[in-house]
Amino acid sequence: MEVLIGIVQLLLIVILAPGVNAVIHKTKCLIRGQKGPSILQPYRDIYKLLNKRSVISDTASWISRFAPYIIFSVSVVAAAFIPVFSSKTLFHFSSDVIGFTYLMALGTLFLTLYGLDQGSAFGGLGSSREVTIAALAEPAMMIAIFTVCIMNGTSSISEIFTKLSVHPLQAFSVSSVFSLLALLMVAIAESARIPVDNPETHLELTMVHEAMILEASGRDLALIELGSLIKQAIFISFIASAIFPISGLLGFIWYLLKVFSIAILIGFIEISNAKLRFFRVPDFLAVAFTLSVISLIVHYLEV
Amino acid sequence: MINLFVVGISAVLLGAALQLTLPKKASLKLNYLSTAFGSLLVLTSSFLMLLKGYSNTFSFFSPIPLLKVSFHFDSLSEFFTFVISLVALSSAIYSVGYVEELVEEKKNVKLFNLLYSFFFVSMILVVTAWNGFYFLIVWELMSVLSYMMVSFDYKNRENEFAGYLYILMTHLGTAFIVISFVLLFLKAGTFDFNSFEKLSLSPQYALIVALCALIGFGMKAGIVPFHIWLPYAHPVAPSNVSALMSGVMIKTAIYMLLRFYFSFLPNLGINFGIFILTLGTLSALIGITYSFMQKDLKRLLAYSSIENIGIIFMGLGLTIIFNATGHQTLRDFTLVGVLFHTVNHASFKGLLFLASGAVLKSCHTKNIEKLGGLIKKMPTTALLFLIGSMAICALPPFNGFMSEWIVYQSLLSTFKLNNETVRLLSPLFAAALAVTGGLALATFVKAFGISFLGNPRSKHSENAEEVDTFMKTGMWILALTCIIFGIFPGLIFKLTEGFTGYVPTDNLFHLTSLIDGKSSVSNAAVLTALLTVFTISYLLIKADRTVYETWDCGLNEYNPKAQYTATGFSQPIRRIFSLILKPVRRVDVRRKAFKYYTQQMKVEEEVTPIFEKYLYLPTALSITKTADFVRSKIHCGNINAYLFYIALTLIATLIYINVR
Repeated sequence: MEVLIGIVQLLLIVILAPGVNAVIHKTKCLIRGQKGPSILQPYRDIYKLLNKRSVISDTASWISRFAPYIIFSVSVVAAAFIPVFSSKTLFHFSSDVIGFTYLMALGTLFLTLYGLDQGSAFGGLGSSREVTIAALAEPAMMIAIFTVCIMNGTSSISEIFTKLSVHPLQAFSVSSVFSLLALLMVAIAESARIPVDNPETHLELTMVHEAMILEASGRDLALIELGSLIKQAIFISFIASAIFPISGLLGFIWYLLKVFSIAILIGFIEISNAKLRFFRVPDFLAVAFTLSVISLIVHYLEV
Repeated sequence: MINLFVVGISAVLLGAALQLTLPKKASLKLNYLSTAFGSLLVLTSSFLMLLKGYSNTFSFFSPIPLLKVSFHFDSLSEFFTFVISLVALSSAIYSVGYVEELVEEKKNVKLFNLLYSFFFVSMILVVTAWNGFYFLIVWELMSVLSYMMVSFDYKNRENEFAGYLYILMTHLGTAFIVISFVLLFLKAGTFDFNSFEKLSLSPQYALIVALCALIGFGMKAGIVPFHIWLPYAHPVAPSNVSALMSGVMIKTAIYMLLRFYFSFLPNLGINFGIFILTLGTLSALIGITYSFMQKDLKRLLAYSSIENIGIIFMGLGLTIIFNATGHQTLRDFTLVGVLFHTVNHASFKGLLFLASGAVLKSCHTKNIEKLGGLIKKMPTTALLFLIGSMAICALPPFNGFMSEWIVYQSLLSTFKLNNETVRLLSPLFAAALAVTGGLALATFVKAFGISFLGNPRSKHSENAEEVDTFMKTGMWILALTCIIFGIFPGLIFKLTEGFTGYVPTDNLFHLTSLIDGKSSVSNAAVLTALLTVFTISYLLIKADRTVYETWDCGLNEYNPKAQYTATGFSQPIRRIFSLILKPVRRVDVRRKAFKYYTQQMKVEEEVTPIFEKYLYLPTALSITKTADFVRSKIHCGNINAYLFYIALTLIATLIYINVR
C-alpha cells in the first residue's frame, strides 16, 4: 500500500510537470492579451518528439548518448523524494533533504557535460553560465533548507511534511514566509525562467539552458526537456508542500490548487520582469540569500 | 598481523635495495611491484588490526638521551596506515607504466625508485611514531624525501622554485611543531606520547600548544593562509608522487592534529573550535575558487586539495565544538566524518592525480586549453576521471557525498547547542559549504568537459593514446574504492569505531542522522532507483540516431578553436568575484593594414594569488631588506669594529659564566 501511494505521488509529479509549464505559459499569454496554446500543448510536443529519431553530432561521445537518459532518471528519482499528499513517498525511509539537493546536482553535471560534448561554442557558453548560476544559487537554497530543517528538528523531507501537516496553521511561521520566498527565487533560477533565463528565446547573448541543449533533437530533446520540466515541478511541489500541507484525498486537491497558484504567480513574475543581464543575476540571487538569512534570524528571534 | 606488517615494510625496502643491481627497465618493475606487494600486505594487516581492535607499542632505546624509537599501533594510526597503503598500492601499480617515461628521458630512474619507496615507508613511520623526538626525525625524513621528488627534475626552473618554496614552508612549519613538542616536553619531562596523553594543562597553555600545532601541521596540510607552497609543489612533482603527496602526505598532518586535539589536549574550548571551523570554511572557499580559475590540470587539482583539507578542518572544528560542549555522540559522529573525508579525499584525489598523469604522459601537456576530445582517444582514463570528478563533487552515489553529508548533518545539529554564536553561524558555514560544492561542480565540469570532451584543441591531444594496463589497474583500484565506500559507508564506521567510539545502529548501506534518528541517506537505494529508471527508459525509448555534424552557424570550416576555452568557461565567476580574485587581462591584437581587420588576437586572463602578493611577498621583502640593512651596518669592513665585536663577545661570555 505504501509503495502504491509512493508510486502515485511520483507519477503525479511526472505527469503534472508539462502541465505546470503550460499554466505558466498560458498565464503569460493571457496577460499579454494573446490566446495562447492549449494546456495540453507541452504534452503534444513531448509526444511528438518522443516519436522522432534524434540527430547526434559526429563529435559526440557516449556522454551525449547516455546523458539524456541520466538527466531524466535523476529528475524522476528526485521526484520520488517529494511528498504530495502523503509523507509515504517512495524514498520516505531515506528522504534526506541534503541528499536530495546533491542528487539534483548530478543532473546538472550531466546536463552541463552534454553541453560541452559536441564541441559547439554554444554548448560551452550555456554550460559555463549554468554552473555559475547553480553555484551562486546554492547558498540561498542551503540556508532556506537549513531553516526549515531547524524549525522542524529534522532533515527528512517526509518527516518535515508529517510535522507540518499535523498542525498546518501553527507550524507556519513568519520565518517560513521568508525561506519560501527565497526558495521560490532559487526555483526560478534553477528552472531557467525570467528574470534569470528566458526559455522562449534562442539568442546567444542571453540563453543559458537552451544553449546547452542546442544540439539535442528528437527523443534526446524530449528526455532532457521532460527532465527539466520535472525538475521545475519538483521545486514548485517542494514549496507547495511546505505551505499548509494536508494529508489524504483533500490534500491532493489542495496540492493541485497550490501548485497551479504558484505556477500562475511565476507567470506574473515572468510577465512583469525583464530578463536580467547575466552579470545582474548574482544580485537577484543575493536577494534570495538575504531573504534566507532573514528567515534564519527571524526563526531564532521567534523561539 | 604485526608480522604481516613487518613483512610488508621489509618487502618494500628489500625491493628498493635490490632494484639498484638491475638494469633500468627491470629495476622499475621490481621496485614498484615489490612496493605494491608490500603495501598490499600493510593494507591487509592494518585492515585486520582495525577489525580486531589491535593495539600495541614497540619501543627500542637509543644511546641518544630523550630519543626513543617507538612504534605504536592504535586505531588512529592503523586507520591512517590503511589510507596511506591504499593509495600507495594503486600508485605503485600505476608507476610501473608511468615511470617508463623517466627512462626514456634518461633520468636517474633508480634514484627515483629508491626515493619513492622510502617516501612510502617514511609516511608509515610518521603515523606509527610514538615519541616526539623520533617523530620529528621521521617527519623531516618524509618532508625531505618528498622535496627531493618535487625537485627531481631540478634543471627545470619551475620545479626548482616549487621545491625551494616547499622546503622553506615545510621547515617553517617544522619550527612550530618543534615548539609545540617542546612546550609539551616542559610539562611532561619526556618526549613519549604516552606521557603527553596523561598531561593536564591549563587552558591557556593548552591553547598556545594547540595554536603552534595548528600552524606547524597546517603548513603541511595546506590550510589557508599557509597553503601557498601546495599549488606549486604538487603540479610539478611526477604524477604518481603528486597522488601520494596530495592524497596522503598532507593527511599525516591531519593525523597529528587529531592526536593533539583529542589525545594530548582534550579540553580545548568552544572558541578554538569555532576558529578551526572558520579557518576550514575559508580554506574550502578560497581553495575551490582558485581551483576553478586554473588552466593547468594538476594545479587545479592541487587547489582543490586545499578545498578538501578545508572541509576536513570544518569537521575538525565541529568535533572540538561538540567535545567542548559535552555532546559525546555528536562528537563521535562528526569525528567519523573527519576520518571518512580523509580516506575519501585520499581515494578520489589520488585517482584524479593519477588520471591527470595519464593525460600528461600521453599528451605531454597538462594545459587544459591544449586538450580536448580525449574521451575517444583514452576512453578508460576518461571514465576514471569522470568517476573521480563525481566523487569529489560529492555527488551520490559516490563516497564524497557521504562524508560531506556528515559534515552538513553536524552543522545542522548545532542548533541543539546553547551557544548562540555557533547556532547562528553554522547555517552560514553550511551555505559556504554549499557554494564550495557548487563551485567544485563547476571546476570539475570544466576539468573533465574541456579536456576530455569536444574536439582536440592541439596536436598534443590529437595524437593521444590510451595508457597501458598497469596504469589503468592502478587507477581502477582507487575508482572502485570511491564506489565501494560510497555504497557501503558502514565499512568506514566499522573501521573508525576504535578511535571515535561511535557505534552505528545502521547496516552497511544506510547512514542515519543524529538529529532525530529519522532522516537518513542511502547511496545504495539512490543507485538502485537511478539504475531502474535508467534501464526502463533506455529500453522503452529507443536510442536510434542519425550521426551528423555539429551545427556551426553554417560556416563551412572545421575549427576546434571555436569551442569554449577553459579560461572562458570560468570567466563569469572570475568577473563576479573580481574583488578577491583581481583578474589581470592581457589582450594582444595584431591588425592588418586596415584598422578594422584583425589578423590575430590573443587574450590571456589570470588571477592574482592574493596571499602571495599581499602577505608573503611583502613579508619576505621586508625581511631581506632588514637583514641587508643590519648586515651592511655590522659588516662594515673596518678591522677595529671587528676587534670590538670580539672583545664584546668575550665580556658577554664572562658575565654569563659569572652569573651562572
